[in-house]
Amino acid sequence: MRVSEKLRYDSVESRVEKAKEANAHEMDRLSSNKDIMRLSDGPVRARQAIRYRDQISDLGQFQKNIEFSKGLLERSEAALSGMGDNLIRLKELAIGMANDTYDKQSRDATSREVREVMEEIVQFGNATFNGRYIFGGFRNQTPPLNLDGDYMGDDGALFLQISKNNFRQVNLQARNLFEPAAEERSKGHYNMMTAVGNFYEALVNNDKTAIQQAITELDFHLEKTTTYQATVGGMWKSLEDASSRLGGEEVAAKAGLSKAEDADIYDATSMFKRTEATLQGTLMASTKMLQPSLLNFLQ
Amino acid sequence: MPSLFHTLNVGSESLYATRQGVDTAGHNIANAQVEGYSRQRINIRQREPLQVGNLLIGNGTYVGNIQRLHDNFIEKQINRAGAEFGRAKMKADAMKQLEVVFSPEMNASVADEVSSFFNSLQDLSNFPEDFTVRTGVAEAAKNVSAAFRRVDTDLKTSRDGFNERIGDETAKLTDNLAEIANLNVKIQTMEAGSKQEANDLRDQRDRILREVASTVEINYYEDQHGMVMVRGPKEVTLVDGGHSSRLEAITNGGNDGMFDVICTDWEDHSMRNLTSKLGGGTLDALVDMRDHVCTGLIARNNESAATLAENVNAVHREGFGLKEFAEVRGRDFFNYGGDLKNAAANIDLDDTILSSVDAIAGGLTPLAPGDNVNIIQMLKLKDERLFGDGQATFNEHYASYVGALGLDVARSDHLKEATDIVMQDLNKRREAVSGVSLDEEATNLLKWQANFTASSKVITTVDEMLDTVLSLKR
Repeated sequence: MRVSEKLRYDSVESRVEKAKEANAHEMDRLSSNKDIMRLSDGPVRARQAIRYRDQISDLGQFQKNIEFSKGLLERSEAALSGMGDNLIRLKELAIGMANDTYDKQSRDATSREVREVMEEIVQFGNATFNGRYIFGGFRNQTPPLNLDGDYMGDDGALFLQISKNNFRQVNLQARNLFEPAAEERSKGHYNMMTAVGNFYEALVNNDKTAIQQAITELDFHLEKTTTYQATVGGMWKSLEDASSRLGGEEVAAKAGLSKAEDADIYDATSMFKRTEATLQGTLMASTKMLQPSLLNFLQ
Repeated sequence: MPSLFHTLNVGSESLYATRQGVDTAGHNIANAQVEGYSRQRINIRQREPLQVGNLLIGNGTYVGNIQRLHDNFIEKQINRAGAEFGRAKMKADAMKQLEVVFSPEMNASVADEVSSFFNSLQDLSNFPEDFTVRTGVAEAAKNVSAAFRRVDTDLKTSRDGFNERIGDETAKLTDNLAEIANLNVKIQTMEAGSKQEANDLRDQRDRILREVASTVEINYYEDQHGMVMVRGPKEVTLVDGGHSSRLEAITNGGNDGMFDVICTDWEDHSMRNLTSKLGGGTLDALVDMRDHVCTGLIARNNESAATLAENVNAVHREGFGLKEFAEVRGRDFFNYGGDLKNAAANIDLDDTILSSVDAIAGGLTPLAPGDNVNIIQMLKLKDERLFGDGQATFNEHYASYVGALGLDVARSDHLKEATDIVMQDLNKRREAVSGVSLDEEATNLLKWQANFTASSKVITTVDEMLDTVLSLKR
């Protein structure tokens, strides 16, 4: 084939251009540490990367939700256990005061302690977490409990998402804790605060029978508090399990994302070296090739 | 018997012919790097011999013609491949431009913003009554809207860019056609009555033809007067002898005020709309990008924006907010103006929420600030198959149409490379015939120089001989 001057220069130009382009591409890979810088670098992998990134962001959010829920549950657990301790104390007092050895004066003195314990129970019932009343259901901006014994909250169940398509209830619907259900009421049970109030009244009135009745009623509420505590424990445990499962999923998703978009650093380095050598070789060959012409030898 | 003067004449004609040889070599060297130049060759012929008695005596030489080395067949192939190459190259370049809009490197893509929006809703499900978290949701929703609007603007800017380019290319095409007609006339005039082809003018015309062929699909042939007749797409006559048609970009109100390509002939009639029939070349790629690729992506973006807005709104309307909104429902969350065709351009947070974040409807029960049931309903939208005719979740939908764009970009890139290789090969073959080689020209220079020296020698010899003859009679 005849090799014309223009062809020589054009092909040198296009070869150098190609070598430079390949080298620049490898340099980009090496410096950004990513294989997928543009969609067209790997449409399928780019698509995977979009999904993994969304998944990772979801998983992080679910973890955040779980952390919050665990905090809420820990606070609930603390409040319930405080409430339980107080009920136990009341029961102890009731058992003691039901005894004939105590007279009106000592029962009066005890009634003052009972009054304090009552206020403490109300405080535990109105426990807050992040500025909201945890036992109030959705009416969490107003205290759900007062000394009169009526429950002022509602039955709102707070659900949070803890994994894809999985919403978990993370609060306690506390109405039943403070108010007996209709069936229980028919068996003669009262509101928690009413029961405690009755005990207080019995002490003030020095009424031994009433004090004895109060023991069973306090027992009923103590048992209920313990049941709630157990529920909280169960919820906490299952969140803990979900959290560690999410942790595993997150690791897998991050590995997937890295596989989808990150450059294999050894491959990138060796490719960079290789393209660099190609570029240098091309440049060297080109200078040699462009030099000679018959004209150089004609003198 | 011819005289000494005959010999002198032979010498001077040889001198003339060899000088012409050096001249042609010089012309070739001068144009060695000129685009579209075909090397020229001087054809030197023997004169007819003189018959003197029964002797036939050589009568010297003359310059027959100067010929350009050129292969019409390769030229036709180049022009045919040119239309493909022009289209593939333009499409690949244009796709690269669109790709940037959806680049995975950018962190503020629509998909990322939608993810952040749902994350902010997750936060709100933790703290439904918290003012700061509510503000966070409003901000995230504004960012989602802004991302939709940005993609819309970017795509429309690109589309306008392609449209303007169509206008420019059309104007350039008209100029080129006029130039071909002009050269047709010049070539006809110069070649009339001579056996010599107008080499340099033909080179120019071929070069312009190649440019035209890479812009639109053409057919052409040369008539007996050396003029080319050029037909464009749908057999429209573009150049006929000394006449050329005009291609104009005319605003079409039906297509968002974009240009149509209209061909009008030199007598101002037979206007034909070629917009969708260009068949190949740069213009065809531009029209394809503008009317199909960009428009398709804009529609996808609109559809995504409208679907997201409508579904979030439908849930949001069911719920109650805080304070003055604690007992009223029926508010929208997003507002896209109701026009599907401009959903992405107009989408924004609803005005009521914009002025007070208490309007965000988190609960399904009135007067319950801690109620997050409605937020949970909104969160469920993230994994619901609402997009692409109910086939995919938002993220899947986005990933699939962006992935499809990526495939298109990659495909157009490969096509460009493939046509580039064909083009390079054809150009190599053309260069092998028509290209100038300096070595060759150097050899020619040597050859003609030696010849010139020898021819001069003939003349000086005759001169000396004449001296001898003249000195006979002293």
